[in-house]
Amino acid sequence: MKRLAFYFDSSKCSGCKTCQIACKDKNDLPLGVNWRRVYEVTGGDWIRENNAWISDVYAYNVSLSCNHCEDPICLNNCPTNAITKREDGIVQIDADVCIGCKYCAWVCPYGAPQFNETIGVMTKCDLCADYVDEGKNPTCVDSCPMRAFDFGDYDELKEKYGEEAHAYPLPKPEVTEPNILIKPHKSAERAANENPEVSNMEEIKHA
Amino acid sequence: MHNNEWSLIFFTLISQLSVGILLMFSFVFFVNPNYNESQIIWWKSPELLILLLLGFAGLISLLHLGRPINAPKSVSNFAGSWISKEILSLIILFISIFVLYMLRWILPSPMWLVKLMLIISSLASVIFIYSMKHIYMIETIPSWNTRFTPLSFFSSVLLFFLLALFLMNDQGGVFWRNIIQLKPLIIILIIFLMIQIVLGVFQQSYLSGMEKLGIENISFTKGMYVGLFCIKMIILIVSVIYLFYLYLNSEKMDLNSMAIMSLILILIFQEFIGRFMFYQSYFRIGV
Repeated sequence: MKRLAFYFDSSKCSGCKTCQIACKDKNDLPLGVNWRRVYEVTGGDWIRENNAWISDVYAYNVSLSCNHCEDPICLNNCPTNAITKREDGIVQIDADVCIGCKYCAWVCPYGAPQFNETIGVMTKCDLCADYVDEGKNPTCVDSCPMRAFDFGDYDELKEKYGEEAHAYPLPKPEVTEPNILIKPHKSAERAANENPEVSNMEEIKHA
Repeated sequence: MHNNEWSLIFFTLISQLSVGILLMFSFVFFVNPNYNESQIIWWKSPELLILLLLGFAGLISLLHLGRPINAPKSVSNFAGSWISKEILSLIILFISIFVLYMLRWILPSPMWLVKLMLIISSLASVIFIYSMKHIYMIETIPSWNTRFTPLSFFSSVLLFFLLALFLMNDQGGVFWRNIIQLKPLIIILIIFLMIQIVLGVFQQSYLSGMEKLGIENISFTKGMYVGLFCIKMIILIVSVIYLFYLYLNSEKMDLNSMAIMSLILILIFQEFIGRFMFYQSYFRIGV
């Protein structure tokens, strides 16, 4: 089975959310459903040194969608078998089979499956399967003005970019073996120790 | 509270109440199967009550689905999904109790067959609760993936089992009082509630250490969660004190049925608070 995967360079991402909007537009997603989300991680503080206040703050962005995991926890736990994995590794939901129990949303550590109130079922990123079938990239990848994304076979991407640790706020990759390679922002290691807040949670939930 | 989880609170609690009543019925039936002496008319056929409760719980569970019309497909992933296993075991439990009802009341059958069906129903009910607790033992949800989850689910069943015994002792007449001795029952209930208090404190302490996990943490040490925990503990402690009072005075006075009923209802209410807190405690690793 192929392993289609994303590469994401967090150090390049400016947080403009063009990827999020391109996804929303291409898939005609309603309010509150965001197959791709940009998490704004912000932390640190101002430190007093003698009579001066020195900035010790940091901020970076992590753009995430479904990572079409090798061991998809959503697929394993779906009671109706509505979630399936294609030969090329794309994990997708069959709306005609889904009961909308939201269990996949409970269990996914990437917040990928999302409930669409309008149609009453779970929905998620399908890697723009129609584009992939035509040999194109998913729309989020090509829309990024910072060229923070790449897309292709997991092993080829790994050879091209290497593999680095998954940065905060992502979970350990061993849990679901996600098909994403990430170049973390320089502040990500510090963030992993400090658990700073994601400052745009409201936007992520309701945009 | 996530959308529509009220239906899951009611579903889990009513299901556990049904299983508690079923196990109590099995227990007493094996002690003395002569139910016709019971003074309570509806209790002569507890199967109907259990079927009604299970059916009601099943219907309520549909309310949390986005597309209930597809509900029959929920047993498709029997091999992998604990939800499928839970639904299937619920169906088996429902059918087994229906068959039990038929064997006892519609097609009078030999006692060995009734007892066999009762054993099958009881086993199905335990498997049902076992599957139910597994649904919440999720690697990515650290607040649920603990030993407290199975303890909480099975202790609810045990509490409902004891409360059903308590109710029958009060309401069931001389026959039941001969089967269920009040004093030992009160002692068992007191010990059980005291264990629940200790477990509750341990669980609260355990969850308090989790506040730094995940990006969308809930606070286990302040606000509504702590308030509900305190109410639950107060109810349990007051119930233990009241049961002590009953134990000391059970031979001197006639027990007041209203007071017994109030105790049972308030203990069911604290289970409801506990289950509400359980769903409130949801948070997952990652984003």
